[in-house]
Amino acid sequence: MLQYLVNGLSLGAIYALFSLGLSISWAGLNILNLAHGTVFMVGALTAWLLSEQLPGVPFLLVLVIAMVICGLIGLAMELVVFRQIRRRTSDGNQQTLTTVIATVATSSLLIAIAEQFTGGQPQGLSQDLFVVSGYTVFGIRITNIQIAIIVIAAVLSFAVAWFIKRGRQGQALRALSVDRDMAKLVGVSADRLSALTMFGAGAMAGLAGVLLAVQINAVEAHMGEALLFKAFAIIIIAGVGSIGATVAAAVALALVETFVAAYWVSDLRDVVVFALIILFLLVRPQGISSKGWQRA
Amino acid sequence: MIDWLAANAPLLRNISVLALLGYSVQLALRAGVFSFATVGFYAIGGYVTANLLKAGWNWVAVMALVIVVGFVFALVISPVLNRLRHLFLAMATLAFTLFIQSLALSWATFTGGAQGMFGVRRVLPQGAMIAIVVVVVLIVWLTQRGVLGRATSALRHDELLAASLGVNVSRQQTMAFAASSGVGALAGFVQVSTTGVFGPDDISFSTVVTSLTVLVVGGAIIWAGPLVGAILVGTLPLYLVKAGNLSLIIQAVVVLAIVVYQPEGLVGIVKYLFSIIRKPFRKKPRETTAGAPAS
Repeated sequence: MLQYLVNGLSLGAIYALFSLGLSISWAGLNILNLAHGTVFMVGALTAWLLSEQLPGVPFLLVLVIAMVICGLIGLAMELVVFRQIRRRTSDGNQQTLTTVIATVATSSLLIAIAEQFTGGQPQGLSQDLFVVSGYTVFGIRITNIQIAIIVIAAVLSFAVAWFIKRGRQGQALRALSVDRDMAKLVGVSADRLSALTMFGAGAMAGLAGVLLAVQINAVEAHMGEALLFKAFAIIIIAGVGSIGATVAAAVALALVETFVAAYWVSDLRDVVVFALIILFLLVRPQGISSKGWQRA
Repeated sequence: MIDWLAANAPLLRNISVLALLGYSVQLALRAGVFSFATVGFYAIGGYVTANLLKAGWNWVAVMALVIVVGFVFALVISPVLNRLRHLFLAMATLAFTLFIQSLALSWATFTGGAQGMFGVRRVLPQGAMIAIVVVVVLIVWLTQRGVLGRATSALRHDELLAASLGVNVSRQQTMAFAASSGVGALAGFVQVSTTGVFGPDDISFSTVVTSLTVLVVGGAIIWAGPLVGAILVGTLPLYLVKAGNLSLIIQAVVVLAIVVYQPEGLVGIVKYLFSIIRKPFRKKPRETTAGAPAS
């Protein structure tokens, strides 16, 4: 029982790291980034490539490099794709839709590139990259990677929450989410802030990618797609842009999944998740956070 | 002509399925419904067809039933979707598709699990397949004209404005979504009844990408768009074979460039070129003296 709690918690921590970036870029920039799962995969892929090419490379370095690469991908998307679309279309509806389709196209590009490396096959991660060792505390087995995941996710969640709530740029981002043009008028550098947000979201997805790859010891070009489904559920349950609710929903969903798999039928996990999505859409479409449809 | 049709059967089949997928997305989109549910309904249509054909049903009956199933299923979930707009709708419909994919893997008795369904009778004649596509294109073309066409166009641009002009927003969008789902399921029927196989690979995320590609390459709103897009997406890989492994990357870059720099797609480019060519020949508007008194 407590064992499942620990497993669910570490899964929830990964969900949280992944969904936060998706939620913030949606709330602040009105971008539903369907390539977020692919950026996550690139993080895992970077870890695999580094450990294959440079045996014995320190794990912390891998983590940093993966985060920077994924951050840069996010930045590139903002500069090459989103900013261009924003310039070319003034109609809000059209702009949102074009952006969503562009993220799908970006994701197919990244997957095509990733498959050049993996050969379309799932690849195992070298054991040297991170030596997983388990501890037993009060009869519960917990591995060092699980502890690392939970601690990193907790620290980052607080950092992000503080940044959005108190930080100067975070306040600017909230202003941006309410009215982009108005925020520009009062001196917010919308372009720079968008770039920063996309970089941060990408880096967090990359971090989650490395951590999950180490935990499940596998890398695959399509590994982000299943996670995207979970992140959708989390965002629907939490409401767009509220940090605390997103983390809570991520952990809750992971726990529900773990317990369904453990005490019921493992195949029914996704059915339960989808049922939750429908239930929330029917009963409380604005999510559990009291802010309602308000963004960020 | 007949020889050519027979020789290029796989290509034509590909193009037909791609075109139907593209039209399915377009039907919803042009009424302002951001729906990613097409591939989910494609999967439903495909698996239902595979099971019924295996049970020995006549293909005409199966086709009719598949369309109805798509319609009814769409009407059942539309109350949920009706409450959503824009990005929420896109996300919820994509969640639906991802859920169907996961269900296809786990509900093995109906879908064949990871292996999928194979050895289904390939019953659909080529002529019938082409007829199906032609009928769908005709329906899309006809509904893009006249009162209905103007109403959907208004819906896409501004729901509030459309409502104030007397368009029943929720009914129109529900119907658009149902039509989109019916065509999506029909695409599944065509795929299964011409190839005889259907599995998780056919309904993966890359199919979502492909159906959107067909739409944006041709032109998202113009009726001819998905047809042009399907022909291009269907034939392009044949010419990109030389590029080998890089062909997928080239394809993705081309699509991305079109989305960002030419949102109206190829049909948009052609229209633009025509407008340039025609300009010198166009009658110049007469001087304003026409209606004025002579002196």
